[in-house]
Amino acid sequence: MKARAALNIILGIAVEVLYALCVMALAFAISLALTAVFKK
Amino acid sequence: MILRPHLEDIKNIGYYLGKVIIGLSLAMFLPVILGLALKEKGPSLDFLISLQISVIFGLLLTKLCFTEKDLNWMQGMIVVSLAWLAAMFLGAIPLYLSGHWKSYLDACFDAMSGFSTTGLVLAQDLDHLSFAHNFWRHLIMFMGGQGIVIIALSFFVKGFSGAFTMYVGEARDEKIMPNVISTARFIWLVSIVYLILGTLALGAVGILNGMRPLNAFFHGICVFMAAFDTGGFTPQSQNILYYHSLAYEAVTAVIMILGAINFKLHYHIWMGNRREIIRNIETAALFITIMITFFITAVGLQQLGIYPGAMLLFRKGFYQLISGHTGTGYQTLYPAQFVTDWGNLPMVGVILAMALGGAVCSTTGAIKMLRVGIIFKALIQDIKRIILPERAMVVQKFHHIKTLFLEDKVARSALLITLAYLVLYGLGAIVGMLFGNSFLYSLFESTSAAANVGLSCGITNAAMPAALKVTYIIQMWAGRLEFMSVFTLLGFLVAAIKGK
Repeated sequence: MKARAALNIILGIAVEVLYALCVMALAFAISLALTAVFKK
Repeated sequence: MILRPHLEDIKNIGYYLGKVIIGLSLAMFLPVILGLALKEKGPSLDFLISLQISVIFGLLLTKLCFTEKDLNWMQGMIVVSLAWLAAMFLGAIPLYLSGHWKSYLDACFDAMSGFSTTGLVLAQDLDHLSFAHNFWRHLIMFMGGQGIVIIALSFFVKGFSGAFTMYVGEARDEKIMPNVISTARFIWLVSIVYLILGTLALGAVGILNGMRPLNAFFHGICVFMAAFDTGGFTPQSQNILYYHSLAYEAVTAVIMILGAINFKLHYHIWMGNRREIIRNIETAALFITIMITFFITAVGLQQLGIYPGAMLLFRKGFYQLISGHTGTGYQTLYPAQFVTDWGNLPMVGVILAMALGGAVCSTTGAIKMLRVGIIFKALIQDIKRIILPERAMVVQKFHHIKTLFLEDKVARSALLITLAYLVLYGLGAIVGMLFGNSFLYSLFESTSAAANVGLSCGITNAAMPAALKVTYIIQMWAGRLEFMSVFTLLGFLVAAIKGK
């Protein structure tokens, strides 16, 4: 039971960090797109 | 007819306020230990003096106002609002004794900025502040993020039935576990787990950047505490700009976003309900509003052409934006650069982000994502009511841990708190303008203070008028407590004067 709970916590942390990285990745994509648009 | 409060009310408030103060005072042992370990005798003495004053004050209150009765709602709310003021006055004593603050008011400003997880700074020569004082600045931020009354309750005071009123009074209206003490302890579990991981990550990055291990981990723990609790203090005066490191910026950005997530959501995700991160109204609203406000900011910055490359735009534009949106206040710009380099549109983007904030029951301030989501859903519901036939039954749902029906009273409550925040932002901006600042810069600084963010465009400094300092202190205090306990205290004072 304890191993299962620990695994859930580790996966939970991984999911939360992934969410943060997704936010950053999309923001970077916006930066790339806007840079390309304004360079034209 | 307004009823004058009884002596019994004052005794109950005084007794529990004393208990909270004693609990908070004990936290001063940590910088004492750190100071002694690092052979900082003077700073350790500052904390021992402050500790004694605080404990004596707390003991006096508990002895003079001794009672065995539990708190009612009104008393609990008043204890919370007074406890935050007492924490500011007592927490400022060691700061003032250090000699790095020009006046006791400045020390109080930084103490409230710390406890409310704002991050505005009036300290002088921060780069030469002792380890013990620097640790205290970050510790009060960590305690403020968790909720100082809840800390005192969960660690130093035995449980009692009035605990829930104080929990709500500190703007935490979501119960994660069956009782408040276990809820507070779960919040601590999340914070401690991330404290260990975040400190290790920041310490490792610091060492790779050439810092000495002791310094790297000291900076790591301080920066983590202020990032996860969306505070914004750093050990150095140049804030995150001091590190000149993409890796440091990336790790702190992740920590800031994690700090903006609801503790109730942390609980459900950690218990295995991982899909909740996609379905939850708050994480969805946070994702969307970050993208919208970043788009506004980035377009403004591109129009000015100050950051020609995508990476530079991301590092400068997104970092300040996410720092503002999560209510942290970390900067990789000098405050004056907002005025000289950024211009109007990027500043409007950041003001919007600061005004919105993170999730409820997180460490962020401001309007918060659940309310933004609810208001948006209520708007859709009203549009449907207009479009659909009169007899049609319009039901609006939203998902927050479970699927809920949107009731009018929920939407009304969300709108009222949002309105209170908007008024607070506006009033602070008016006071800023009364002292000769422009509307946009005043609104920026006022929103930053009231939403407990800490980004500054340069108005906040030790030379600003005392009245503006007091205004920002009140904004930080009212914004952190989400008004209810502050309004209750004001009502209590009116009743004490005008009541019969």
